[in-house]
Amino acid sequence: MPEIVISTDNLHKYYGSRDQQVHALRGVNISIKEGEVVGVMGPSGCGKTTLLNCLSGLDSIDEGNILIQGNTLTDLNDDQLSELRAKKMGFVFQTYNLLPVLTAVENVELPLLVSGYSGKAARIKALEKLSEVELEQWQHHLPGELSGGQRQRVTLARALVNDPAIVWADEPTGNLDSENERLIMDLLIQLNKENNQTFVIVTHSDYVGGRADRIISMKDGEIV
Amino acid sequence: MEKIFGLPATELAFGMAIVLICILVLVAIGASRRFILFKMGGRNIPRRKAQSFLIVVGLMLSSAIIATSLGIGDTVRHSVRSVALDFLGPTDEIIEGPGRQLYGEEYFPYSQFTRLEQVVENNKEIEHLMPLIEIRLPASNETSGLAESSMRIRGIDGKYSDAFDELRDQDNSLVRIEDLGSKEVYLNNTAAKVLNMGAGNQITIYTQSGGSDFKVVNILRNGGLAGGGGNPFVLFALPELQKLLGKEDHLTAIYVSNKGSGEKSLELSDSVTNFLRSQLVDPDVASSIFSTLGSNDIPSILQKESELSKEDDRDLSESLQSLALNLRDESYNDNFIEEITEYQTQLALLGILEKSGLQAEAIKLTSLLPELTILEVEDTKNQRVRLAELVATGVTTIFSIFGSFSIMVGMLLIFLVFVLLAAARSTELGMARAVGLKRRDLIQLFTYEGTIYAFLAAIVGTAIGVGLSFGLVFILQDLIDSDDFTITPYYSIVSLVISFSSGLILTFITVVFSAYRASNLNIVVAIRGLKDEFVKKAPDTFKRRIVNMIWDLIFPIKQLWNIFKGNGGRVRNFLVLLIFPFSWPLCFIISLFKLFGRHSYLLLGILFLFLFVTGIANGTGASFAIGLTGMALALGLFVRFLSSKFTNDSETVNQVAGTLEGGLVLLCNSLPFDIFEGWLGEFSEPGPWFWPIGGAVSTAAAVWLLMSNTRILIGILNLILSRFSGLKAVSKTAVSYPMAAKFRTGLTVAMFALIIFTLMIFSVLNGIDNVTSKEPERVTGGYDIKATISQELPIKGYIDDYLDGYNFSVVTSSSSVPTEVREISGENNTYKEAKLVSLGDKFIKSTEWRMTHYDSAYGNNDREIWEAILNNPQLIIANATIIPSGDPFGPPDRSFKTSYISSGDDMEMSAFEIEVRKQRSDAKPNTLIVIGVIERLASGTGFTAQSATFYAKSGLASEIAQTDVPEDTYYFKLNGGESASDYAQKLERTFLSNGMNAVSLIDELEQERATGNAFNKLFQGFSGLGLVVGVAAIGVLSVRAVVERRQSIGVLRAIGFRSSMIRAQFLIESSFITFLGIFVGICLGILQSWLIYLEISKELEGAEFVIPFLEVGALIAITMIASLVASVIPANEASKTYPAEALRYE
Repeated sequence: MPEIVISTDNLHKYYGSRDQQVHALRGVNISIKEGEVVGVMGPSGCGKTTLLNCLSGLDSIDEGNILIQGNTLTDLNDDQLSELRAKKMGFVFQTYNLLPVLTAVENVELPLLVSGYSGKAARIKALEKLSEVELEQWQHHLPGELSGGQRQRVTLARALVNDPAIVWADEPTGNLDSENERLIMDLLIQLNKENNQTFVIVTHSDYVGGRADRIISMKDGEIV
Repeated sequence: MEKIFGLPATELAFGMAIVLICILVLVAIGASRRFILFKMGGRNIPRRKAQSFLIVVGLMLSSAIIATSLGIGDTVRHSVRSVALDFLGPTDEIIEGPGRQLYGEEYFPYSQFTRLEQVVENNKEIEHLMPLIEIRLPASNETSGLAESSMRIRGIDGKYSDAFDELRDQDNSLVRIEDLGSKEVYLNNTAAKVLNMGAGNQITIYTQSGGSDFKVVNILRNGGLAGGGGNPFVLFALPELQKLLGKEDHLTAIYVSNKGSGEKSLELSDSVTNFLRSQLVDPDVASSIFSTLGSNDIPSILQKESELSKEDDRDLSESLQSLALNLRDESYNDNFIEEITEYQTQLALLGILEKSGLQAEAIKLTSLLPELTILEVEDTKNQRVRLAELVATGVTTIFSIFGSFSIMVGMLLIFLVFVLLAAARSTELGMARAVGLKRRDLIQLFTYEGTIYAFLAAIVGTAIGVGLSFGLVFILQDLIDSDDFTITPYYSIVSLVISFSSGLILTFITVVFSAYRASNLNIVVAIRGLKDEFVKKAPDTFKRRIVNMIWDLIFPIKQLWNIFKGNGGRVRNFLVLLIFPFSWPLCFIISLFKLFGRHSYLLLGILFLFLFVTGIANGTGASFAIGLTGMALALGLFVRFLSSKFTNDSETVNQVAGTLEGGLVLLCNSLPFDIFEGWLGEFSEPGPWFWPIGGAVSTAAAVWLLMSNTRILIGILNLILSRFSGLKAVSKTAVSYPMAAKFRTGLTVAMFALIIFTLMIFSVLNGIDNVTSKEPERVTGGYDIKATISQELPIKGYIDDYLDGYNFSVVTSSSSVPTEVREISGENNTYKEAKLVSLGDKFIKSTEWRMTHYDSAYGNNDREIWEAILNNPQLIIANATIIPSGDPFGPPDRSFKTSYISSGDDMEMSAFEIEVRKQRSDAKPNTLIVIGVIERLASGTGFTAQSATFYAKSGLASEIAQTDVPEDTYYFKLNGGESASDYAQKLERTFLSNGMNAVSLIDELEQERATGNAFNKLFQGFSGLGLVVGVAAIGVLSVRAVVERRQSIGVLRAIGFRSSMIRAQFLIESSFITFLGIFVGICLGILQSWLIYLEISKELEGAEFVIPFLEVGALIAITMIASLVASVIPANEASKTYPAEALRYE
């Protein structure tokens, strides 16, 4: 029986000032098991990205509780949160968010260097990951010299390079055509199967949603 | 100031003010026509207050540095002028003896004054005459034991003094010379202080007949006739002083006061001097000279010589020109007399006549000229005011040159600021273009914003510059440490206008250039924010380029045609036509480069080859050096073209070609100054402004070389930094970002490099000068005390007879006589002034002065050369002043120069013959042989004169003077253990009646060294102002980086970067850029210092090249800390960015 790696209890998040407050998350309760691919769907502004940011510790919460692999996020300070992200989490973004001044392999090895790997070990592991996403021959190219699909595959390699327990993906195929969308999702599902990692994917795409094990639907900051 | 940057100050200020007004009017017209653009540009300033503040701080530095340079010049000028005016009081001209006496005061009969009084009776420009005796004598206060060995004594004719100038005592009551009784004197305030005397005390004055006591009746306020400038004066009634000196019915001077006061009387000075000179010559002699010079086509010869001497000696050239005109027009007038009575002109005339084979005329003139002048007239006040001008201009030039590096850095910062502003607003500007704004609208928009910044910056910068200049001149006052010279802060309106305008105009030009660059954005790229770069236009066709070039060849016609047809805006075309002297050549050159396109290296090569060849043909150093460096650049560009044919990898092309371009230019710019002289002959020295230009070119080349090899640099750094596991991730990003933004990183590196380069040169050169502390005997000659006495009060008998109780190992002496010298076979065969010093045998045997050049036929080392002059009275040694130095800062030296030796020549020289004769005489010259030249260092303590001086064995001075010349200088070497300064004081007391002034040479040397070092530190501090600009650039870059990279910060935080790692990344990044700048600056500074050292070491044996590691360490530490401080706030801001918020940012 897979254990629960992500769970929330009555999660609330507010934005803005006291006069103009937006209630972005309204008592969200979810639990996600190890190895699950979960899609988070809903209309624009319903709080999908906010939920993802809060779950990953990128954003703070105002009420409630989040448990990630038994760690209560609100009990962790900024440095502990950073360490948790470095060692247990991977991120994929819609706009790739690769560092433009680093080559593909340098982008991929960066999380390993943060985690304390030696330069040599980090490079070997980063090349393995690039090879898994079939970009080994593009290792010395800058992001600007790669296509959208290639960039997203580099992002994927970077997200998975430190063998994270959880991968957070915010609209991972939002900038891609349908062919690349299919390729990325194939790759993502394949890696999920091979490594038993948990994927939380925020998406608008029905195709992506269809490939997930489970869909969490949101509206106006609530799970529906 | 009369001249600034070599241009007339008032005209420059006027021109700049007009340019400034034109700029402001243009901006105002443009803003009123499209107010929306002005509003769009201006609204950013109040919205982003912190950024606006930072920009104004950055922009103001150019104005501040210019204002500081000019302020220092103004204050120095004003102060020197004030001292001169205070010293002279109402005296404008001074009339003295004809200068036929070789030493001591020259007296002339009182009847000369009486005659002059009648002559000037009807001259409306002369107000008063004042006959007097002025002399220096020893004086003492026997009660207190205080003495002054060189007291200024003034004997004033009381019949004239009341009208000439008011004398007032300490209570401001009027006192009169006429009231002085027998054996009574007045003291001025300084003299009273020096001797600690008051009214009623007795003062002892020493003359040839011994000491005489006088009663001090009153203490007078300093200034005018009572003596100013902080000098001690004793005032006598004229008959009393004449009686004391045994010079009844004689005078030494007549003071002349012009009508009016201040500037008004000064304006009359030329006319009054001309008049007096014409009245104080022997008319028969003058007329004979006029007719002699009017014969044998001499006027044409003088005209030609005037042209030839235009570059070397402008004053002489003008005199010859004026004489030629007078002679040709046969107008024997005051102007002719004025020119012919100038001693330097007389010497030149004799030389010209002899050179032209007119021996008979030369001989006639030689006998006439000494008889020409009855009394000599000097426009003293005018000369001192001109000296003030010269000193101030020199000071301004030095500060401007040192400041020019900071000004360049300031301009780079302005450019960088606007490049970053354009990058920050690219989306906004792209949108503006998309909704219909034209390119020129964007230029206007940016220009309006920039003009507001520039205006604010010019106001603040000028104000700060004025304050800084006052601060620095007070430091100067401390360094000069003289009671005679008081600094009075002053800032002229002209300087204020120039500072404000030049700062604003420089900023405006940079702003317009940046605005033009920013306006060239691609709309789609800008809106989508895809890349932070500008897209180039597709090149014109070849045919189009030819047509454009032809149009630009006839630029004014093209502009008129465009105005007629309305192409490209009539107003714009009209304005461009208005400035056609600049726009025509500029547009034509741009067209030419466009025509050559990718083959522009060819055009550059041809242009620089032309300069190179011209430089060789004319021996012009600047032209040759620019040509050589330019050809190296053209070669690099050619390689760029070639390599682009072989590979499509632009990074590789940039690396190969950039390395060659930067490397070759740097190499050519760093070759030893005289490396080509062996093959191509000597080149003329470039002006002082060549130095900052050369420095800027070297810096640009070094930075280009560095930034072309970022791949290698990143590789090396990663190799080093990968060893520190905790830093790996941080350092990788910290290094990669600046290396990717090559342009802005290169600009910032260049800023630091330029300043560190200058500071390094100062540091290394300070070290070279240490030779005087290691080997002081090279300056002092090995003597401990030098003493001078009045030649009118010589020591009777042998000095040793008076030295019981002293413990000297060597006591020796010298005597000197003014002479005229010329080479016999060399090029400099016109008589010039020089001093001849006859040295005592003991001096010659014991001196440790060294030679820079000597003829080995007379000895194999310095000692043997000294011994040679002892054995052969025809042999002499010269000081280094006879070698032309080409010093651009000092006052012109018109004394003798040799044509046989050049600065930097090898030590071996061939002895050469000179003719030496008594000054202002037709005496038969002595032929002497110069066998060696003493090193310039030996002039260090004022030991030798700054004008040409020759050293010979004893007796020669008297032989040339045709009379006994008494000894006037003594040198003492202590046996050891005693204090030289104590002994110097003791000597002054022993020889008070001879007016002895003795100094400890080591003390003098140390004081000189301390003052020199302090001056260097002052210049270093001033040059270091540019560091503020560099630090401001780091601040601007860091602020911009935080904004630009907000999303990346979010990603880094997402993948596990702690906030402290983000802070560290930004701090490492700024430190890295600073370090690169420091590295380039230090390398270039050492290289340039080495080149300077090579030149210095040719003349300064034993000079050591030492890199002052402690000072360099301090420089690195200060710069690194300052740049860290500048980037710590943005780095903190970056580290505090919330990850989710940063990721949302686009």
